[in-house]
Amino acid sequence: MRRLLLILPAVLGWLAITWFAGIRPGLLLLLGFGFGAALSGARFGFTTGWRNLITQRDPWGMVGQMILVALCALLAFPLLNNFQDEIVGAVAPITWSLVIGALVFGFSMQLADGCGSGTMYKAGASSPTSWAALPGFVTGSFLGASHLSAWVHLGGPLEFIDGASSKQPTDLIKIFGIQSALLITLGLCVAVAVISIAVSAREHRTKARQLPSIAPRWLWGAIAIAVLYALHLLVAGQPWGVVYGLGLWGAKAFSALGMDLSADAFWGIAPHADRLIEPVLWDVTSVTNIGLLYGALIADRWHQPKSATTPWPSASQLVIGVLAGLAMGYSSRLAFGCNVGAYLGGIASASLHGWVWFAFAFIGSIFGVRARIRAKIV
Amino acid sequence: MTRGVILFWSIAIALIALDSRYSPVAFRVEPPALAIGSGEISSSGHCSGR
Repeated sequence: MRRLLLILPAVLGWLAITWFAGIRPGLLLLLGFGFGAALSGARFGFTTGWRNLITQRDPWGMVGQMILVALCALLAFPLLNNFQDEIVGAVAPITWSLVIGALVFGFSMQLADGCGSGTMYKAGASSPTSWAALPGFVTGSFLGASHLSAWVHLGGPLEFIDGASSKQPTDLIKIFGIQSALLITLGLCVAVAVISIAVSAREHRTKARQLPSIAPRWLWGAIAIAVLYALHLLVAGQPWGVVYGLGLWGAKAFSALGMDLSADAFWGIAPHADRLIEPVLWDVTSVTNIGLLYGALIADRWHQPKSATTPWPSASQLVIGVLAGLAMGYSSRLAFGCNVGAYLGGIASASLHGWVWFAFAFIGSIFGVRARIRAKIV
Repeated sequence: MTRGVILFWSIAIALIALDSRYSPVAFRVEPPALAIGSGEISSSGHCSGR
């Protein structure tokens, strides 16, 4: 009976969205259910994966992420290369805004205990800290998008290295061809995984402990999310994203409150201005996000109902959640996306900015983990 | 916590309903079900800045 009560709203929601918005939004909602269920069911956390590596020298979260990234690249590169008139990748330039945004995002996601997808799936699975972080994330994404062009005008590090324009993306497929781009990407994924395992194994050896084996959830989670990622590319014609939809929700809220965004550097121009006056159910990222939230709830409650006595976090933890959500939302727009749109989507689109995002967000996470310990966040 | 879930989804559904009711644009040519094979490039916004 409980499972029927979980599935029924999902079916009704799918029917309603298909009826009112169309077949494609209906399919995207189903994919969103899948993303939420896979993320929540496998507890496929980007944040905890990195934190486990940093604090416990447990490499398997990072290895799971590299398997996911490699699988997505394997599936997406041929699609991006062969269907350029129908499918576009998440390519972005390497700018100072990317470097700063990724650093701040990596730091903040450790305080909020969730990245872009993590905050969404934990909010869907009824985590009060993520509920607190979500409005902050929405507001931050709206503001960050609004300020994005000003940040991009600061230029980027490549201007100092080879004088290249910092406004052009570095697309590995265009530069090296699909085979070489795939080899480079898979090689980097293997290198990160091997380094993570080697560093962890050495630490465990010095403490006379054995490195635990990889939990199956990292493997099936990576496979499930990669399949959904490829399907999303086929249906939407663009990679899976999270923060664009959140920023749009913020823009719609501020617009409804009377703010005139017609002259805004981001929300006042196409295609974003069009999204602002259309129903939110027509927006690709918004529909996937809604599905993700509910899919996470289904996975969380499928086997057992959550205890009614789940303790609420302290007020200070909730305030930290709101502020971290705000910082994540703002910084993710400067960085051309969060762990989904920039890290996973960027690398699986053969855009070098995805690897730059990964490197600087990981550095930010190292400091974020320290701040988390100082703030006594469990 | 179940009350929290009900409240969360009630607010979400109310906001979606309000948005759908009061959005200035109410009609569009529905996009093909799948982008692949449609001959159309995606015009949706994305986190990467498009």
